[in-house]
Amino acid sequence: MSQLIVRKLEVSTGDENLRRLLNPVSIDFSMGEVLGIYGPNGSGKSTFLRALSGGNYGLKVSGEIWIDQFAITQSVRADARASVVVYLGSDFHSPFSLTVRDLLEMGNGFSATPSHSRISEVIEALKINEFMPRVLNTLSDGERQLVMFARCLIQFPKVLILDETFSKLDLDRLMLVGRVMRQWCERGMTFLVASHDLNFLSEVSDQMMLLKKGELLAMAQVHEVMTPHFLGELYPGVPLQVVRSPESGKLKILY
Amino acid sequence: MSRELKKKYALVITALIISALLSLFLRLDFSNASLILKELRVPRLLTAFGVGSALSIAGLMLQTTLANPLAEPYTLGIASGAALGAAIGSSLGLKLPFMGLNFGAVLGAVMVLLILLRLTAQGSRKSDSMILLGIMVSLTCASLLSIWMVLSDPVGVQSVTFWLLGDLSRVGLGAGATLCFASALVTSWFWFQYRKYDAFLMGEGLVESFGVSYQTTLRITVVLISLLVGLCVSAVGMIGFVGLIVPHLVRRFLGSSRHFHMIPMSFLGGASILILSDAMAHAVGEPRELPVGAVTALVGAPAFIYLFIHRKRSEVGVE
Repeated sequence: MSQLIVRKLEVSTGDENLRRLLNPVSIDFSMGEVLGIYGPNGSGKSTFLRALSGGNYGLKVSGEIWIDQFAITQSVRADARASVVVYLGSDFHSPFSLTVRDLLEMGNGFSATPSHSRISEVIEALKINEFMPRVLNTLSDGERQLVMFARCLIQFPKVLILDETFSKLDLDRLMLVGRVMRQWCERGMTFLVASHDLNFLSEVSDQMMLLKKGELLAMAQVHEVMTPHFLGELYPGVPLQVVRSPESGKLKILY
Repeated sequence: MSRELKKKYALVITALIISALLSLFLRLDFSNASLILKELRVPRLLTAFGVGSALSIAGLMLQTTLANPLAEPYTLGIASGAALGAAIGSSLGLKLPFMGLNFGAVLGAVMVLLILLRLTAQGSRKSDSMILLGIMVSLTCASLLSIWMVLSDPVGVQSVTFWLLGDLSRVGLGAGATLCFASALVTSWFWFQYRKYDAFLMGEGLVESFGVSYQTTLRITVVLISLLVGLCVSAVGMIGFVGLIVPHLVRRFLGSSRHFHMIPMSFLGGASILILSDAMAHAVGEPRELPVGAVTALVGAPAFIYLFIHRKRSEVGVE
């Protein structure tokens, strides 16, 4: 079975201070599933995900990353890397006037233009047909996040990293995105999702990872991680309650 | 290609032909036509074609790769760097025997671009600070150029005007043809890579996500643009704002920023606009001649101000 394997991934700032941002992390994760990543601000979520993407973010990264037997490092060519892993943040602006249609149809820098059936499938799944003729920068932040997510589904990397990508999405669309993620999982795509919306993570994730101050606190099934014990460690003194949703049977948090 | 696009191409090509005819035949002394055409007007037309297309493509590619809609060889100081390099280079005899290519100009352009990329961290390239720095670099180079010209050449003060305002009349047939060839060659290289440049349209943070190496592409682009701008500046001096205005006009005209059509359209558009400006500069001042750089700047500088003020709005795409 194909796996995402991380061995002793360690990250420091790229400058001369070499401040440690992430202590060594080792994980094994099955491809075709959703991994939720949760932690307070500054706990190292983005650092971990950026390092995992192999992109050049001015970080000093050591350790090994294997995605489906493909080693990810900063020296791997960008085109080879982008078909394996793509990192998506949350803030998208084009300095130029670019329509949604152009963005979705232009494909990537390394392969042929994506097929029309693949594009229209994603457009339909995410219900973004009405955005197509619009200029990207005239959409709201949340709509733009949705369009960029669509862009990445069309590119179809093995692993899609979503770092707070849905931070400005409304409830309806958030649920839709969750369903679409599950559908694309069945086609073999893997999602790593960082979010501050614990209830959303619990809804979509197969496993969850908790980070605290650059340290891996726990990684396991959602019901093993989303407990008063672990959440108490993340937010000591904050009154939190974990309940099970009568509808979906998933764990939810009340505060 | 859709019908609408075909119409747009037809329109631009017609504009190009009309400009070319104007440049060849406007105020032509028909008693001596064949000599004037052969010796003066055709070389001049070729030069304007080569330089106009090259500057426009340079502007487009700089705007794309730096994610800065105000970037162009002139506003970033690359043109002044090339002029300074060319002046120093020709005094030192760095001029290559063929077609007036001046190594100094290319070196000057590369130096300025490297300095700018050093001074601006990745994030600040799309901001105004890059343009401000570019203008300061430009002023520094222009002052050094004036000092160098006056010190090295007794009649240097006149040549300074040539470098600072541009003059298409000194270029011969061979050099004009070389400029056209170089411009077409570099443009085709960019055009064959249009997918890569499309990946820059969402800003530098996402370039690698689209499978394009940011550093490698930027480096190659910078070198090619420096070559092209160096070549133009060493042949005709500095001609500003063509590289700024043409890509903006073409983006509006096409209604798209994708490079498959942006590159050929900017190439043709840049050529026609410089040919037209040169014909105007030539005809209006008769019998004297206005420096063509002064004509493009006269139109270009107010357009820059307009773009600068309305940029926020145009960036969010409200037409």
